Amino acid sequence: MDNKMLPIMPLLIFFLVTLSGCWDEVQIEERAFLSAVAIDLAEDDGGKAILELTEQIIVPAGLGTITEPGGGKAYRNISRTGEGIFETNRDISRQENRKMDVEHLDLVIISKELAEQEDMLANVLDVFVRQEYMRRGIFIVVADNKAKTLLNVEPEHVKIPAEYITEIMENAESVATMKPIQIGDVQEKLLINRSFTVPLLTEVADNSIYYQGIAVIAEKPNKLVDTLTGADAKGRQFITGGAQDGSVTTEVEGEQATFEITGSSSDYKLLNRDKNALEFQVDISLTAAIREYFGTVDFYKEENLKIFEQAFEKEVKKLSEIAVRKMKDELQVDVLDFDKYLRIHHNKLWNEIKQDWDHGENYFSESKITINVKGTITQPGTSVRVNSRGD
Amino acid sequence: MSPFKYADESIQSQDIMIAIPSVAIAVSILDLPGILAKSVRFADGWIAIIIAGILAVSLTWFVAKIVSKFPNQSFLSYSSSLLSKPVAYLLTLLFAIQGMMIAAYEVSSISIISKQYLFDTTPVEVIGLSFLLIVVYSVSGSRVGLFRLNAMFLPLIFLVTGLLIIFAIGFMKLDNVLPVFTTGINGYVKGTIDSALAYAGIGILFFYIPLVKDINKVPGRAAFGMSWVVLLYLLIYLVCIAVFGQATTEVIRLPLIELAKSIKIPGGFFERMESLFFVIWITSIFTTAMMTYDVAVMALQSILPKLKKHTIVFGLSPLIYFISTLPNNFLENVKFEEYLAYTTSILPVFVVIPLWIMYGIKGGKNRGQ
Repeated sequence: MDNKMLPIMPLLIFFLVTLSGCWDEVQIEERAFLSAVAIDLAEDDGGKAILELTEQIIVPAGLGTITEPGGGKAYRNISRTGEGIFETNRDISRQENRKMDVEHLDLVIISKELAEQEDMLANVLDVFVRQEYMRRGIFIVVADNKAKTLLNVEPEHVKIPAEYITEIMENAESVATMKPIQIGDVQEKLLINRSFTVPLLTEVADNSIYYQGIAVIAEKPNKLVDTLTGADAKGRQFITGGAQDGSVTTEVEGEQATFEITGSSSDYKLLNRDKNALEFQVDISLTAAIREYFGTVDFYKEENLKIFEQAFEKEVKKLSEIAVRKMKDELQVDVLDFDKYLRIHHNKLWNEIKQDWDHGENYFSESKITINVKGTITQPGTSVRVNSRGD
Repeated sequence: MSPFKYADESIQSQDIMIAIPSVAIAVSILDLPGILAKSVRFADGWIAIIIAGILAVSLTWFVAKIVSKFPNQSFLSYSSSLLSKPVAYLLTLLFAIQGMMIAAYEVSSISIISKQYLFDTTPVEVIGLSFLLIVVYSVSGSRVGLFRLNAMFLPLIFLVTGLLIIFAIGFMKLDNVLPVFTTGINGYVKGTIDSALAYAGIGILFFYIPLVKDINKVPGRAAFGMSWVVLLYLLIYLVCIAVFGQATTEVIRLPLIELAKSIKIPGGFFERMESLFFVIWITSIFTTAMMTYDVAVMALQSILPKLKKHTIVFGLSPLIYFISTLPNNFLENVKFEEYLAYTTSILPVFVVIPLWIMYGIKGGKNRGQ
């Protein structure tokens, strides 16, 4: 070795140790992985709301591996109350022997009671958007009762309740449910001052959660105003073209028939420019398959298929009109995407009316909405009928 | 330490083509979409990026064209023959200061950003120091080595950013991009200025082009290199708007990092990829710091020909480190960036215009000297 190099050798060794990034090292065994957060309203003493924060922390030993499933619980829930999320989280960490790791946080559950407080939703979500280690893909749901009870629901086949809930949201096979909404989407809606919807879940048993419907968050006052279930929720999904695979049951000539939606889209049209009485036309087009039928009509015949399609269209139209009545006349909150349509296709008009769209003057409630439905039945199923009643 | 000697100690025109984007792409790749979203509505910023891009590409061409008329001459010698000696000394000194300032700014922002996203407990000063030490190491070596490093890192930057864009396709929403052409004229002007500031680094051409062997090809290739930057900025901007929407992009401080955080790679096996992306973007900031540092060294060398290169390199480093520690938080850092962006964009314009005028008046007399 070059002798001139010798004096700087200690320096190099020093750099080797200091520059390898060990300063920020946290061993994986020393991390507490947070998988879900539930936020409840503990008490509301007039001015300041006290929050109850429940955090679900993964217990890796309980999780085990695929070949060797661990025994015992795979999670632990810790609750504390406090005024802010971050502060309360630090309070919870006093009960935790490991460093809290939020990078795998997937889910934030907010109780309905809390979301009904004005501006509360935006306030509690702030920390999740601001923190640099959090993801924009965190799912947001509203719990019908206490948010923290959802984190105790333990189905037999999933070890972690948080994982169970996120899988429920992604497994949408009903018209009454919506695509999962992420914290990034919520931030966008809050920033552009628009009303939006959040999935609504409820606990139905110790080991089961039910995807109940859709919670409506109004722009002004910024809070949860109502929840949509059944026909309201289905109609909304048809109008926005977001109906996921789900089913519609109706009667065809006195016999019950169930259609499964295989494709759904909708097209908005604005028929006039009078901002005090806007007229919209929504063309919903759907493709469906017949899945259940108690009658005996042979739908392999063209004219019979028409009857089925008409019955199907009529039912969808009925559901959509129920939703329009609910949203436009009762709640007067636009979560039917008319705002988005106006913004994109009639931007000038939209800039005039956006301040008073679904509050204040409320041009939305004064508009007229016509629904047209075009249904196509693509598949009648594999067999024409299972009985020959009525023949 | 004896510097490594390369077999061919010369720069080709394609090295300049690579150096231009290497220098231009720095911190602005991370924050440009957010800055544009503030002034331009929806996705209309693409017009601003392209207009500013055309300006930057043509400025690159004009600079490269005039400099390529003086092969094997230093900036000091050809500018003093055209603009008189005192002016030439002043300009050289300005370029030296500017090079130092940019290097210091890159060190300062890399330490602030990586402290926020990567190193939670490591002190900012330590991050900055370790980054600066590597820059100093690279600059103290052979100049050709710098161009080799650029050629190594630049494809990686494009590749990784391209990958990110592909993964982001699933998260794009057309609603976020529409409607088009709703911005007022003021918005476009502001957006064009903002994006013009992101095309920095043209100043290095004054110093490096005279070293190039096939100097006739330089103007075209340098302009071509700048057009890559336009394309990259355009793609990043559109992807950020399509994924986040204008209103959200506006409030995100570093949209590209946020984008890396929001994507999920299909299959669910690779998640949390942003550290990898981040490491690659750090190299782009590294190449900028390295090249501007080297320009500062070159400029000082031509003013003080008696000093050894290593003396200048090691003498500048404490100064640069000191400047880099001046901004205490991100707000001061952003202010630093603004001042710097204006001077780096304006200085080349103010140098190239008199050069062309004097060249036109004095004619091609000095050609081929």
